[in-house]
Amino acid sequence: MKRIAVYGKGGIGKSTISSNLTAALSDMGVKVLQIGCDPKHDSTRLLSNGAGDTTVLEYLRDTYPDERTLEDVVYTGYKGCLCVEAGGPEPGIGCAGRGIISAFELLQDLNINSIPIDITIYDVLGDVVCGGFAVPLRDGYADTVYIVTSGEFMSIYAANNILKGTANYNPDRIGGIIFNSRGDEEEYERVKRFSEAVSIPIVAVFKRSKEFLDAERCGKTVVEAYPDSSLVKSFRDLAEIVLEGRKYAAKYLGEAELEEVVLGIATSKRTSQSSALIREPNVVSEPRYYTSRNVQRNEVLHGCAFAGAVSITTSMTSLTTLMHSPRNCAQFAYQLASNAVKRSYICEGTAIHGFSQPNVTCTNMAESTMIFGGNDELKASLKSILDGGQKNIAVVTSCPSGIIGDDVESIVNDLSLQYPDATIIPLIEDGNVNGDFMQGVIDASIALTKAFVKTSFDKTDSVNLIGVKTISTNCIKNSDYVESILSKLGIKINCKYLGDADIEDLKKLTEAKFNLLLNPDRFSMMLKQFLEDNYDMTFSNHIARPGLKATTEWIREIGECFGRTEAAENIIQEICTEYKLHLEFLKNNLQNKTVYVASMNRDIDWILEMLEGAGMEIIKAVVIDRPDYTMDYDIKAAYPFVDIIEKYEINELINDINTKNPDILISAYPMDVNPHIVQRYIPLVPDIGPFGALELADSWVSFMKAPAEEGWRKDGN
Amino acid sequence: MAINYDEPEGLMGILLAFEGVKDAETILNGPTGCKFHPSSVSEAVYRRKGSFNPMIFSGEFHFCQPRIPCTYLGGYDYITGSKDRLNRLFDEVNNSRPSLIGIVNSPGASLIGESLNVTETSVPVVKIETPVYSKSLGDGFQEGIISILEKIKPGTGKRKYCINLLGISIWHLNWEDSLNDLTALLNLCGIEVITAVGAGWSIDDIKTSGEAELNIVIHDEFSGKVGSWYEKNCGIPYITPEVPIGFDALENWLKEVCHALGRDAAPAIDVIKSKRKKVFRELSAMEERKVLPKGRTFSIAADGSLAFPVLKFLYEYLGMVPVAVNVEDSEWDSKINDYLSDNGINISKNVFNTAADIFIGDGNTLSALLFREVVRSGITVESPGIRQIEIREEPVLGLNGTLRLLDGVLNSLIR
Repeated sequence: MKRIAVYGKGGIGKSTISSNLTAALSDMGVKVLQIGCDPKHDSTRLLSNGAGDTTVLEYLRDTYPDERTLEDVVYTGYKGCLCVEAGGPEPGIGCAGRGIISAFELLQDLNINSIPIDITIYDVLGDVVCGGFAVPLRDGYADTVYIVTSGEFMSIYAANNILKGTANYNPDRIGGIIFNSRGDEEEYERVKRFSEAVSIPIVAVFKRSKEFLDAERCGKTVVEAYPDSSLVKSFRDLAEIVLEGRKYAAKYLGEAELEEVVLGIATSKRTSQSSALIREPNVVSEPRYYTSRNVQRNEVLHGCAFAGAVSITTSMTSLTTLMHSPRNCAQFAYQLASNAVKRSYICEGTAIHGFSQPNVTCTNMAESTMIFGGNDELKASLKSILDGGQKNIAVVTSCPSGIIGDDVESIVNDLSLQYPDATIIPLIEDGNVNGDFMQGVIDASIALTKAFVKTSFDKTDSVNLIGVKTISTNCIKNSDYVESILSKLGIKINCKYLGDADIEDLKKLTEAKFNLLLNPDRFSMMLKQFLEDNYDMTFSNHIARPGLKATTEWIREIGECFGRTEAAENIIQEICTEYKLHLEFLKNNLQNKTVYVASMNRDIDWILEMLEGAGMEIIKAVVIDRPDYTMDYDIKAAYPFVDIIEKYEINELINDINTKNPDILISAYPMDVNPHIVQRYIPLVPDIGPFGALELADSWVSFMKAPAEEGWRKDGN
Repeated sequence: MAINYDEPEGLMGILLAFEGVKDAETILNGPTGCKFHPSSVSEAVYRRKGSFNPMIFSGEFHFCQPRIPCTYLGGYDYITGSKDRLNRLFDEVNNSRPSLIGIVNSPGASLIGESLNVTETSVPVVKIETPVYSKSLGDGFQEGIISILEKIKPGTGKRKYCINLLGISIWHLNWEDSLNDLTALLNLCGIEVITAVGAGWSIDDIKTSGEAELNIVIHDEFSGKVGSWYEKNCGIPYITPEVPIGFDALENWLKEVCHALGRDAAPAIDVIKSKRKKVFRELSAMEERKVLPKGRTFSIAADGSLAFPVLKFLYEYLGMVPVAVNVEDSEWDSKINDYLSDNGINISKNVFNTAADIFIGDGNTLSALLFREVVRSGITVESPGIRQIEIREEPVLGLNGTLRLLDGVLNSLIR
């Protein structure tokens, strides 16, 4: 398949030439896809008769990711050609270049390469003003570039810039210059001089013709409207040239030389031209299937994917994290690790080893980088790390990198070829352009897995813990609890996935016989789905989470899986005995107390189980729907009386609590309810195992013995 | 030198400059990813609304945090911008009648050319469309402060024996306690502190700050440009004496300030002397118990203006030996190196891999060093601290700051 890009100054006639070229090729039986890359989205208007009124970017904005299909943005036009309009923002607002990047990413995600096409034509707006408009120049996109120009100086100036832009990528792919005349008698000579100076031929000449205007009035291309005209013959000739596919090296002129060549103005200042090859390998992003809930539902993003990805990479030992970002992004991400160490160390006396001295560096993108691009800094930083002997490196990108269109993947590919012993993983998160914090966590987990894990058919008596939450204070406590049970069964933990591990642990991921999910949240579920899809890994039916029932279920399942049923039942028996004994104490103190539960987390059956066990009366249980917790967990399956509140008004909720007048309110955070109602709180990430709920209730017992109002409250005024 | 990526930079500095104004509100035109951390820092270092309760701040823009609401710029907004949301957020904030509104573009928002034009009312609005990229916290802080001064324009009439303290931000650990300590000492000398520029000052303070006879720079990383601004626009000269931590440095600081204003430092120095005697008695007792700190090692990672006087104090007063110093500012780094080299001491530039008895710096680095058993104990002199709650006055600077440092060092060594 050929992929060509038609570039040129704005208003020079690229869309007219592109659509007539598409029509001419279609007449020849060639299957053509034309992608318009202009925010005014009129590139394919003459081909599709106005059918394609939804642009890719409108679609991206208005459609949930899991509802998107290629058919919704690809329209069939003249003689079966296919048409796509990228679209873009209103003039003067936002960033059209960023729009091009997003549109192309979506088309990749929707697997546009799966459509059988002979030629793809990218009709690209104007000059190569920023990284976004340079996307079609990148490998994986256009393999041949045609430049449309008139004889006006600014048009040739733009043509020269396009050559410069092409030279910055892969220079040997200029198809030729298409001269679109404005009617000025001398302009052909100017274009010819330019063509000779850059050694690129004029492959087609189109003179001003009323036929263009008349055909446009009918909503048609000239090829369709006047098939026998001499103008159409020129398009057919151009189509033959395109099919032949001859290519030339991109050579461009310095500004002074350009003026001299085109305008005939002599100058002593000649600047040199170069066509340094920056990149070569072919990189095509894979479609994204494993999404966070925010991303899946187009919800407001909580945090950024950059920080999420860094939270995974910094928790891994033997891995260097290179943050391609301004310093503030690096600090915002780094402090997640350092604060986690402080919290864990102070609360639990321990911490995640990787977090305690993250092996990180940052390109410190400065203002000049924002203007001139960050490719050079990134390459230098990465090279420096490689020269320092680091073998495993994750490169994580921030918003600025994405917005200015740095070509991270090709830099990584280039250096990967130069340093074959190293494994460099590009994590193109572009800050939050590609999603929220959780998306970054998922992306990083998947990318590291793909980079390091090889399928092993030799299994050991070990279990992977899937879905560890590295920045939770109780992360280590939770995995320690599971490990204590497993060790009683003679089973080892193979890998904590993903975080708080070494790259060597990750490499042997598939050696575990069994995989145990931690917590019933979307994060864990996405990782499970990914590992099942790609590594055929076997997962537990039950999840290691809080609560007696949940705990006995996963222990029993592991026991059965490893042929240690009896040992598992003994452990369960011990746990049940201890649990029941503890429950008796709670019954003596809490039985018949009324409780109102207002949670922000759906995974509350461990609390409800304890409340019922202690003989307390649940007068109401509500879950306030928030996107960042365990929203996919079906609490109503076990406890159908739980109300899920999609949108809530705090005052309505408080009124309801006051009306119901419970003895105890169990909530996510303090609420301004009647002061005689005892308020106790649900931890954000509860402890795995059966006893967390009991310890929580112990605190209620002593709390209820305290005076109703403490003395300090009188000092507020 | 090992770069400390835990050290905040310019964007945080700008935001904290606005957050340091009493009753002001700061709007971040940017993603939640740029908001969450500065918001939690602001509330932690300058308690105002007294609530971490997410249910109270569960509206569209606060994301359950009391400070720094944002326009939650997301993927598609990088193409279209977020003008409507900014207008709505501005109206919401403006309706709460804050003393000042600061609006700051995140790096991403600035790159797509987001305009911060809003319909202003009587509330002063200060806008920063392009945040400093990868510059220091002090650079960002000063940019924020100067933009506030340009907007509010302090008066220029002068009051005798009145000064401003420059270079302390709300980021500085226990900044209110340090200011109280220094103010009390200056008051003993008949000197009035009009305000600490950028740390808990009100709009009235900003206006009257121009009446100071002299500006005193504390941390020059946070105030050199601000000092020049006052000099140029309000005719207030500024001096940069030794940073007041450590007995000698504190006495010199008081003497220099008093000398510049024609006041007598003796009343404050008498108080310091009485504390010196108390410390002398404790150290003498430690000597008898053979547990003097002399020769014990310390590492330090802090801003140069703080690291240098602390280092000098521990070295000269207690005879402790520095083994690692991590200071990013090249001028301070060089000043410290010259000092150490004059005293024949070689040091590491990386506190993470240098064993020491005590670490002096921020709480996060200290936690990591304790966890990795690189140091035996530590004292926090920079944010973030290690304690969640501070009930007692815990100044870092001044007389009580010096005593706090000594207390921490001596008690941790004696354990």
